[in-house]
Amino acid sequence: METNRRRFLGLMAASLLAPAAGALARSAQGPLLISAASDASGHWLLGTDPDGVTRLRHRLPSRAHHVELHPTYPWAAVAARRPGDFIEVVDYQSGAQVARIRVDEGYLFNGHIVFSEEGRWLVSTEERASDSAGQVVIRDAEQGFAIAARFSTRGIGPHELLLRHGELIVANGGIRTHERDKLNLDSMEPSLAYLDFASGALNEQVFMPPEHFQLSIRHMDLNPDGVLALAMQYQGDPGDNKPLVALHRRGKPLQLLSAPEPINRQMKQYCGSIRLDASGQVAAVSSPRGHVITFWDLPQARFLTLMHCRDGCGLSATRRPGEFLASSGFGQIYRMNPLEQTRERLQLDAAAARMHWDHHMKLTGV
Amino acid sequence: MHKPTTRMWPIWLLASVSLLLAGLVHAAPTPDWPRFNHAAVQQHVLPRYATLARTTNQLDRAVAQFCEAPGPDRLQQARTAWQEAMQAWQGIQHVQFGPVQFLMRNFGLQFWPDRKNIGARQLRQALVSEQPYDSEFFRHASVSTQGFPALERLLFAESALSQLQQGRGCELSQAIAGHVADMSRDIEAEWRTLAAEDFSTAQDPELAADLAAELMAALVEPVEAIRDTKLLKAMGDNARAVMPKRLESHRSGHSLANIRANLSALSALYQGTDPSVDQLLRQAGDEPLADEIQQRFARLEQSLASIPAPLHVSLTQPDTYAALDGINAQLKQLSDTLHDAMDVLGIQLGFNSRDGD
Repeated sequence: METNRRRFLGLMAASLLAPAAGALARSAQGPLLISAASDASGHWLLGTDPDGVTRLRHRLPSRAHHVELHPTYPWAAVAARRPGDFIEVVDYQSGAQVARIRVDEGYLFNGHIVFSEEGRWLVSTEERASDSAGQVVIRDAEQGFAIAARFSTRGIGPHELLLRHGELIVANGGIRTHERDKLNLDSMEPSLAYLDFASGALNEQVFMPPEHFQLSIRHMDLNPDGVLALAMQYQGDPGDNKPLVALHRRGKPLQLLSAPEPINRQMKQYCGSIRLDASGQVAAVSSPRGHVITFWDLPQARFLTLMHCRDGCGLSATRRPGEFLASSGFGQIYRMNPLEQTRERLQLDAAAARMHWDHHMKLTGV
Repeated sequence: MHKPTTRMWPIWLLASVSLLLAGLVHAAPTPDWPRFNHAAVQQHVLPRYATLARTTNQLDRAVAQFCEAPGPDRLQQARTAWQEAMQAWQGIQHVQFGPVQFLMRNFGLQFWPDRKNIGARQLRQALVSEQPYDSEFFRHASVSTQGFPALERLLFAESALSQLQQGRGCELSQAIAGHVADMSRDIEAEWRTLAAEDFSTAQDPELAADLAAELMAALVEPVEAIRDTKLLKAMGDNARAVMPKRLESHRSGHSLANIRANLSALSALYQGTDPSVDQLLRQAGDEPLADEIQQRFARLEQSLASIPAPLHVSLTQPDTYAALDGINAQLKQLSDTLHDAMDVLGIQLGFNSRDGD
């Protein structure tokens, strides 16, 4: 562990400078939509091409959550749904399994992972099984995904994480769990932690204001201007009408955003995913319980519009400004553009159309 | 990869066209959802909301009459009216989409389970406040003080007769009863509009499939919810560890009646309309499954009829506890067969919407 740790620290600086070499001919096959999905016969890592044809169908041990793409190799890494015990790395061109990573004894995967910018490190949010204490765990893709470092997220129940320019951003959801039961809804302290990737040192931490302590920060995306957009889930009184989206800039307080009341209530206190468009100015937020995707204007920090999507959850930006793909638990994928007010359904083959598309999705080649 | 997205995705199609093609791919005959939806709304949803509107109006009147001249008879009449209105609500509680969702009316009518006992606290605060109990009050009041459970606390307290005559007890009871009646009347009126606009027999096919899924969710999802929230939560680990206060409507002794009303309503949604889900299943060629579901509903009704009321008392009896264990198993089996029926009918219920991640 100590050797690995030193290697990790030593290589950090060099690898950040290394050119993103070794790009493979993955674009030759065109883009793929990759997502965890389930159907009557099991749980899958699924890849669908632009014609709606299933190109990848890799069986998973159990239900999975988030998919991350390697920056150079044609690898998709998928993390088990929390409380998870596996991360599977799959070559999405050949369908071969690259690795199955098992969680360390006493820890649980929390469903989210990222690759470092040059692709060497696979970083996951995990929690200690005994008390949900949050951990960031860094594994070395060049050493068979051996653990190179592990540090605290400075919170409990961490969920999504991002890594940009040597800094990790972790959403500490604040919920202590046993299996999937929530144990501390009266004393949650959700926070956002900015951690130095090399050392784990805390650069900044922002807590949810006390009057909103039951707003669990779960998912987020970052634009090139350094604006972080957050999607929350509320754990308090079902009658409350709480802001469910927030923006954050380093050094500033959280800026909480609400849609107009009937729409905000239609979000059912629950956001499943958030993604920013190609321009970094528009956020899409899925609310599967309310069957809506809401869109938000980042520069103006306000709600833009909403579109209907039954059980819609997975989101991915395309290259076009304002354009997103949204997947549903009912086997549908939509292309949506709130700037043009368009919503189109993608035709999928029979295998894909019967799938429950799970929480998050990635589009290759974007 | 620098081509515009429209070329990257050459066959994105308009929703209606892709639905046609998806239909061709699946090739299985699709049930006539527009016709079913229309029947389910006209024959099931609307009459049940009408009953809710009528019984809550009677409840409103009964509480007002008690407050005009308080006495044990009129208190009893108000309690009976509450039970009848609650029975009506339990008979349509399974429909959790449409106007009942608007303005949180579903929670307003019944905020339950109240795990943190918010209702007791909020009710105490409301009773000592000096604010008028008007529409403005209810706009800002906690959902826990707006509906049946709050009124149950007031009407069914042991010393209700004296308590209601002290302070603002009667005033608040009348206001809540009026608010429940208003919400119920509005839901019914809005459903009539919705029925005319969205549930005609000439529905757009994609919309019809979405609405059918909502109606099917109302049939299937409550079964396990009844078991989990209305029975298991109160049953604890064994007969010596029961928690009767976790039963729904335990103050009024209406817990068992609620469950029976729920199952009777689900059975009616399954087989009481024309066309019915039962008929659709048979048309899809699965007679055995349709028979099995009919039998499961019938057996559950029998089993529930053998449980002595009030449940918060009988729950502590080993015989009843064992019988309830059996009912829980029956509910699970009913839920499983209803899920099978959804597969046969090509209906997908929630996936991500039932998740929490």
